[in-house]
Amino acid sequence: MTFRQLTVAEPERAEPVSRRDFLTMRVSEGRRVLELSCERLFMRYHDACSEAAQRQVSNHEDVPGAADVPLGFAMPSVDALFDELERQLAGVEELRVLERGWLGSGAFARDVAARIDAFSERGGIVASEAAA
Amino acid sequence: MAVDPMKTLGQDTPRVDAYERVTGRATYNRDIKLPGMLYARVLRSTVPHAMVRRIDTSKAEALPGVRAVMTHETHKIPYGSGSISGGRQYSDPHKDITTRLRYTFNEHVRYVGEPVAAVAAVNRHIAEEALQLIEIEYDELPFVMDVEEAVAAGAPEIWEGGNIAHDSENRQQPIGGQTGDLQAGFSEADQIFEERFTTAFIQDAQLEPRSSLAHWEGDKLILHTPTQGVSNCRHDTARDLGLEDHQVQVVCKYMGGGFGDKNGNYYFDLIAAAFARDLGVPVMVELSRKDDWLGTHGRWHTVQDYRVGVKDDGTVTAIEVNGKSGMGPYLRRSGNVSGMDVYACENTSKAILPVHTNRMVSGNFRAPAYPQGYFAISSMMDDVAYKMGVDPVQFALKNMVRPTETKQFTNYALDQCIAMGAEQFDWQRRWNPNPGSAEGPIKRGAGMSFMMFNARLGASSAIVRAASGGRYTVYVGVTDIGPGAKTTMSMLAAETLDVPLSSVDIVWGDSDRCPYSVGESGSRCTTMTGFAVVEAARDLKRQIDERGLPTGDDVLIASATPAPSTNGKLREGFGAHFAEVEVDTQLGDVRVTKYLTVHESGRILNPLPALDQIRGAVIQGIGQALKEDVLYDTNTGHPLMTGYYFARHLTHLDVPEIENTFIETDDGYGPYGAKTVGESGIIIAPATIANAVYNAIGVRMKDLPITRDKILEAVA
Repeated sequence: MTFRQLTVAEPERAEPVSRRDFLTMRVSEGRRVLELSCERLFMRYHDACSEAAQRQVSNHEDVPGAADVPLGFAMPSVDALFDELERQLAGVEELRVLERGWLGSGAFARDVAARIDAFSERGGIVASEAAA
Repeated sequence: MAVDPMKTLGQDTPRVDAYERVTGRATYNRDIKLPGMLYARVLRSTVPHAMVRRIDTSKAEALPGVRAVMTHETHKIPYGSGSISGGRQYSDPHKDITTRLRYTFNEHVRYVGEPVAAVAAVNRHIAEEALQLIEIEYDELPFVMDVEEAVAAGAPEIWEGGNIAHDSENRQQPIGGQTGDLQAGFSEADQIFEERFTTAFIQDAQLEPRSSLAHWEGDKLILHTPTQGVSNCRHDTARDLGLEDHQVQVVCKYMGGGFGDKNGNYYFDLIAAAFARDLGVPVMVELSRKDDWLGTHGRWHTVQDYRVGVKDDGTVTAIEVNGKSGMGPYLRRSGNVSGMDVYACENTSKAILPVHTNRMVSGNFRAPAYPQGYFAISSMMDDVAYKMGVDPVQFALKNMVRPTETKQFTNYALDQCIAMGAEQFDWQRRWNPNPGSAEGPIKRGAGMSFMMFNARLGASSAIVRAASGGRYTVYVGVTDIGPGAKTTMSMLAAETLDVPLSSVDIVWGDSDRCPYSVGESGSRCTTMTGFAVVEAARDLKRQIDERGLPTGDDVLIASATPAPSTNGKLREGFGAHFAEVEVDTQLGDVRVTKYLTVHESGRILNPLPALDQIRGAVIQGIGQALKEDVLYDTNTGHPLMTGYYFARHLTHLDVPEIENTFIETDDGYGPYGAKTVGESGIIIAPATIANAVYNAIGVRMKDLPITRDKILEAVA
């Protein structure tokens, strides 16, 4: 998934799990965390910018002109994609950035970095996993 | 123009995943096991046309191990791409306006094999057992199996409003159109010939029976399914389930054959998704071989009436075809027939009606509209050539399409294919100018045909990434249905980056981890997605030249979404086939003793699978010519063969050595000039065999397949 929301026990406040809580699968209060897959976000960003994805070329090859017919359906725009990211970030305290290597450089990196910085400035915790 | 040798491209290259495939390490859909996974089976209609009056699932639900049962009463899920696409991508507006929407389960069942219920259980055996406990009562309706009868007055109505299929705007219109002035063309002719040709329904018959594994993570569906197009399958599934595209992830890592009709979703994907959502666990729907036969698709059968005008000098002046295609009760694909374009004649008319019957649903099968279309027009023209006293090769060279001011090609090689093929085949020696005149019961004859097939360009996407250590990764939404697309994409990247193929990895078949792809159909994977790979690799090379190879955790990423065009020119692959057959006029047996093909498919990127593609396609074409036909009991509406048994597919014993020559060219378009290969080989194989049979016995065979009984009747 591009975004995955988790609730995790905060390490600094975490206490040993009681046997009762363990058996009843009780979740202690914890931080709301968003895992962000940069690889998947990159693919969605790429499709949002792509004429091919926007047109969803016909999968039927034997009717002349079929590929030229407008579909009346558009992939989400880049703006919609980042609106979704911001909505997701609004509901969490921590952001875990996965596969950070995909941020690379260019417009995608700038757009994502701006959201991460804004999240951080609001007091959000940003953690990164090793680049992939 | 000839092609320059390259480092990686053009070299015989085994598949990059050959080891995984031959050692059993490759993970096909049914190899996937997820914790808590359930198995589902589908119950199918046993009547060709009926309303479900009562369906009682209580006994099935009570069987220990059964987790859920699904019917039209419990789930009304649209299956749009299975019914209304008819040659176009399935869209929201399309779904909104159609009056012939198919659902995953339908109260009104329209063919033997239509899904009526499904059971999810802890294992496949319990699921199967539970199917037997479902009680169904039908109000049976009259049914119709023949396309001509289906459009006759008083025919049983499979859909309200008649049995001519609707197009995407609910119109009952034929496919086709006119060029030039047909009447003037016939007026100009010295002779006019008319014939009817018919072709049979043929199952795609992939080796891997289909399955679909669904599970949900929150509001996101993850679907493992053997599809030819992860992007199209994602889109179709999202439309059917009312989701956004990004809420569906489609994964297909390996598949046991595609042959055309898997570029999209299937009803069993929706069943798996609905069960998984309802039950909160992964669910795999599995089709048995019989299910796969009944519940998927095959090449549409056709009736084609041709009328051709010819001048005494052998020039064709007018071509008219009126036909009907049998689509089964739902319009999954177009029903078109093709082939007329390969002739230069400017006065043409084509009108093909896609017609509903109570047979199994038709769909795309390798060059969907072509082998049946080319069989008819090539047989027709072969017949005309003989009647005009002209050698079929000379007739072809006289009447084949050629570049003109208004019809420009990126390059043209049809004449070269025909001439080279005739010479290599030794046509003059093998062809009998007096068909059927050979002495004895074993009669030998030779036939030929010629074709072109669009090698279109279009929009697609690819991403290529460089990491430290000189590793490169290509990300493409292909699924590798058989022709070795993963290898081709890797080779294109290696060539462009000027690095060894062994340094290139590939990520494929995952709609979340790859960019949009047109999928693998229409022989477009190499020309479209491959072109994007080249563009992305070129960009990456520029980045490396500027910034150096990445080190440590750094990476460089390049992406491309090209939408190339040919500036109005036609871009076609060309080909000519020649066959020699021996017909045993006492037993009715046809043996192919020699088969030779010449294809111009642009630059051949990987000769090894390219040759395999031609050979495999020819074998399928010979099967269509001589053997394959899904027969029905017309009294009950039941198909008589529901699996490989009795299906009469060719075996190794039936297949002759197939010689092929590629005329390699680079027209300056596409990835290094590559064109199409995957479908080209099948297009004229049935026509070539049929023409050879005529030359052997002197009787024109107008109905495929040319089985023993038809031969014996013809020579009696």
